[in-house]
Amino acid sequence: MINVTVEMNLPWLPRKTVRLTLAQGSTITALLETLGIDRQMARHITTAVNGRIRLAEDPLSEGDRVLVLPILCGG
Amino acid sequence: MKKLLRVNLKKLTAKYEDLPEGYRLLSGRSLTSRIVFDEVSPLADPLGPQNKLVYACGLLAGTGLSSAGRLSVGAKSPLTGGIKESNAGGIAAFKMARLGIRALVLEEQADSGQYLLIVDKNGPRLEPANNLAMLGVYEKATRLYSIYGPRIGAIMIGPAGERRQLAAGITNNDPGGTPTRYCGRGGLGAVMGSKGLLAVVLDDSGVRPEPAVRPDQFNSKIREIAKWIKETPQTAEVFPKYGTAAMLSNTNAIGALPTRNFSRGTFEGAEKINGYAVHQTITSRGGEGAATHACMPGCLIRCSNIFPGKEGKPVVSPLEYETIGMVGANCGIDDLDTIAHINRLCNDYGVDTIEVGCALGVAMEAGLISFGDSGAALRMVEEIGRDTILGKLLASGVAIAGRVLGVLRIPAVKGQGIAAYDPRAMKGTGVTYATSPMGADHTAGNTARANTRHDLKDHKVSLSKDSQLGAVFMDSLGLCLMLGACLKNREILAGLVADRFGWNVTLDDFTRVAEDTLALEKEFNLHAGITSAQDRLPEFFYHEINPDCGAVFDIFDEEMGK
Repeated sequence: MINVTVEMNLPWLPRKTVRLTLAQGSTITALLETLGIDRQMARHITTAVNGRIRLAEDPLSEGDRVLVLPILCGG
Repeated sequence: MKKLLRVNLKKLTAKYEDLPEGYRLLSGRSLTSRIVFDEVSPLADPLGPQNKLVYACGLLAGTGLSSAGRLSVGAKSPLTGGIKESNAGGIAAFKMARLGIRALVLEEQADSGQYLLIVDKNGPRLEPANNLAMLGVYEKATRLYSIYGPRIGAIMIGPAGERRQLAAGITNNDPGGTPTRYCGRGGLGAVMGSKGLLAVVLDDSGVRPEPAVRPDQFNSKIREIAKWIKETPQTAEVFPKYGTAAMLSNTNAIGALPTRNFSRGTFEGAEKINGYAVHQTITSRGGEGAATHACMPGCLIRCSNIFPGKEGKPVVSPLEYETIGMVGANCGIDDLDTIAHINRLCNDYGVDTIEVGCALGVAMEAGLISFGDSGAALRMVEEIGRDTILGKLLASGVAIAGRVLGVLRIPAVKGQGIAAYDPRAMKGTGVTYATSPMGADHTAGNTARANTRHDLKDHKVSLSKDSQLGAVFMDSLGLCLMLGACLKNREILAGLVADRFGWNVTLDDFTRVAEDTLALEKEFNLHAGITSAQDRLPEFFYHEINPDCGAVFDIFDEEMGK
């Protein structure tokens, strides 16, 4: 099992930080499912792991800090 | 929208022409670039009489479609030395469309004096405007409203444009009359100033716009896009509530937020200036502030805002991500009030906040003032308005300011300051900065929305190419890039044009327009002396690691040429 810290920074949901325990080798997809984020919503989300944007299929590791963000561009 | 208005500042004539048949599908950026390509020598002095300044609206401007009223301005840029297009929201494009004008071309230069162009239902005319000379933009707008009424569209330059300073932009007004929707990049305000034209007044009162040829189908598609806007979290919740400032949390999280002249990518003061902070400040102060605001008539996304001071009076509108990034984090400033006041000053003087933010950053690196010294930064920007030697230096842009001050780390490409995305952390956008004919322009192909590992180089060249094409596509229809967040397909856009004008057009036609536009922009630049040798970032990005993303920019010339 691995323990990760997740900060939810989606402006349309309450901001919160949670600690999750996931199966070894869990991907970001699995993390989002655990958080109750469905595929429809996942299309609008990007995920930074330890300060780097990572993709849905990327695996997580023990101690990872995950930040869930909306996909945006600025102006 | 079949008319082209040609204005000669030497002969003091203003005449309508029919838009050439070959320009039928062109609008916005595709039209400004095509006219510049066809009519301006790539070797022309950008501030001389042979350059032309072109304003254009999009094919869907002046209708009920949300976010379709961007004003494009194009010319040979005095900042980059190449072709340039810069666009902004506001109401000018809406008014142009209502008046049936697709493009307005300024030629030659006034022999003496300053002028004002007025366009109304009776036609265009030039009037002397020496009484408006050297007024700040806010006062200039107030005077124009007092003479021509509060509902006009007004395109203006500030004193920086009149002085032909390279950071000068061109502004137009929003539906509430605030005159600060800036076509900021590329020094196009200096081109307008070189012509001797201070403002364009667009009065569409008494004009009956042409209805769509197929109104039912047209309106049905408008309603479909409105539904998409409301169903997409970014356009329904994030942008209306937090504006573009919401981007700051994203860039800060991945080390892409320029901090202290690009020496870092994460700012310790980010929580004080991010989208949440902007929203909280506006809503807690109340008064005349507004956390959500439409910069164009009918925009449903409403990503703009009105930032108030502590007493609730408006200080600046909008306060956006780029300014917060470049005047804030890039200068080590974590105070929204300072950033807002600097923004207001820049708007009044008529200069680009990205360029000034970059220039302030190098001035701080040179030790003129300290990073994070809000008061000193404000006083330095005030020198632009007083036209001191230091003010002239800042208003000349980061490339010149950096060289004069002896700074080695100058964040500019093709002479234009880099925007608020560190290319080491966001490599696709870095490729755009390097290869876009527009210079270091994030709006010319930002890859921030892509589902990709931004800090790795894989596929970033192709991603940038696709993003650049996407940007040209949207710019060439006069559409706001924010609309791109919710569009489920682009066929609907071609369908809207077909329904409005009764044309037989498809998406492929407009894709080809975008491809042709990018190609001719590159060709113009080649003949202007801008080769692939200039398609690169400042050297320090290649060897100086951004400590917050752990990377250098490692995509080299031969890779970008593919």
